[in-house]
Amino acid sequence: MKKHLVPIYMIGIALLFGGYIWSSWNGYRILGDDNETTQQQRSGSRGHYFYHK
Amino acid sequence: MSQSIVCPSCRYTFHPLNTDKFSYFGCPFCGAFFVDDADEPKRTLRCFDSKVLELPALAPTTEGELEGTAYTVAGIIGKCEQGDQFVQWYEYILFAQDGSTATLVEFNGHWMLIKAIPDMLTVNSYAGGVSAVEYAAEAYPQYHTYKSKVTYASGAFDWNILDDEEIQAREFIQGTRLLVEEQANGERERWYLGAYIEPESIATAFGLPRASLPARTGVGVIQPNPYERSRKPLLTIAMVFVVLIGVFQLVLTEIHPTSTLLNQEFLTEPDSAGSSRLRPIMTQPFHLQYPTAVNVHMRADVSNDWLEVTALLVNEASGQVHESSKSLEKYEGYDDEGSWSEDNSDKDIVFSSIPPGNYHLNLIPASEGGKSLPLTVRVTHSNWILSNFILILIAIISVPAINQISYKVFEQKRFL
Repeated sequence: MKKHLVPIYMIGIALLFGGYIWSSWNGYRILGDDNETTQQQRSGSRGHYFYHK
Repeated sequence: MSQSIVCPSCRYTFHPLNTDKFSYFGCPFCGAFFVDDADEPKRTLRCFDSKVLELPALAPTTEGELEGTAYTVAGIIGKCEQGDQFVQWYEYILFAQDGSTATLVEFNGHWMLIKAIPDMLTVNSYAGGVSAVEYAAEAYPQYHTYKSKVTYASGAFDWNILDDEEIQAREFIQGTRLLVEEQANGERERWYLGAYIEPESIATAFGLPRASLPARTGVGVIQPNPYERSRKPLLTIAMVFVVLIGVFQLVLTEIHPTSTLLNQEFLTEPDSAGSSRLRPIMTQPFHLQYPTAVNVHMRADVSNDWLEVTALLVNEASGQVHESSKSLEKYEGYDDEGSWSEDNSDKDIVFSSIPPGNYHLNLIPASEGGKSLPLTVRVTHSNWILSNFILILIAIISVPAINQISYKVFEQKRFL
């Protein structure tokens, strides 16, 4: 493991860096967000929704 | 090639390495060390305890190849420090076919190959009682000085190993190299250079299973630090990626700048008498041009009161709703210890990875008894997400940091 630490680290960090670029580009927070909605359904005009947790 | 030698003490016949050089022998059976030379009668010089706790890993006449040279083990000397019998080691006297010799030293499972060097080195003394030797443009600080006592002998020797007990040895170390100065009374000093050899290399060299060699204990004084090799590459890679992240962040900030989408103040209104519910609020619409994280910052002007707000981020085209609730509260007062305050009157809600489109917020507030309270809502969007940044930094730094800590711990164990 120690012998291969550097290449493993480099590959791992490159993958993480790729993931970081993707998440930043899409505004994705890795730790999750505050969204509590699990299911929602539109009904009626603008601003009126029934939502179910 | 071996010869037959009969121990004068126990009459055991053994077969040490056969060369004309050898006049001194150690009986592997009874531990007697004796001289057998044409110039003097065969006689026992000392009897060692043959029942040693840990037998030598290599036997006399064992053949092997180290650093490209074929060696045969001629004799084995067990030694301890004079005044400290617990510091014990074995010295394996190796003979090459070209007549050259080397000594393989094993101490606590750590192996060193030591060879004589022709150089006469000068020991420099510095302030504070520190001594060092210059060799091959490197300074070797003094590590240890001692006299040894012979505790075991087996095989053949071309000198009286008991004379070693008169030798004052000084050891100097530099990295994975060791210099040894040996000086007996009235004699010119001799210098030796030692290098660490991994037990696996010893096993391979002499065709032995690794398990047959003594297990390593602690860290050898010149044992290579296994974390040394990866230190610089890990640090370099980490720095490169930190710079790449910095550059990417600058570019991203330029392409997707952080901006405020909404900043509105509201006064909540009762929905029905006697209820804590307040009338729902719909904010002005705002537009997201690209996928982003939406931050809803809410602040209520409350004192010893609370306002709970459920925020619904509504996509006007698809109807998709992202929802979260926060309780905004602030309590303050005085007690025996003076004034106190618990202020949670402003909070953030983060909705991540929100697709582009037109949105508005529906706010559903509630307060004690349906009381009207001021509420400020500021909506911003940003693709610069601090927690992501911290996570990737931790990921990048953790491996070099752990490697560096391991390196330091290893070094601290070296001289224990």
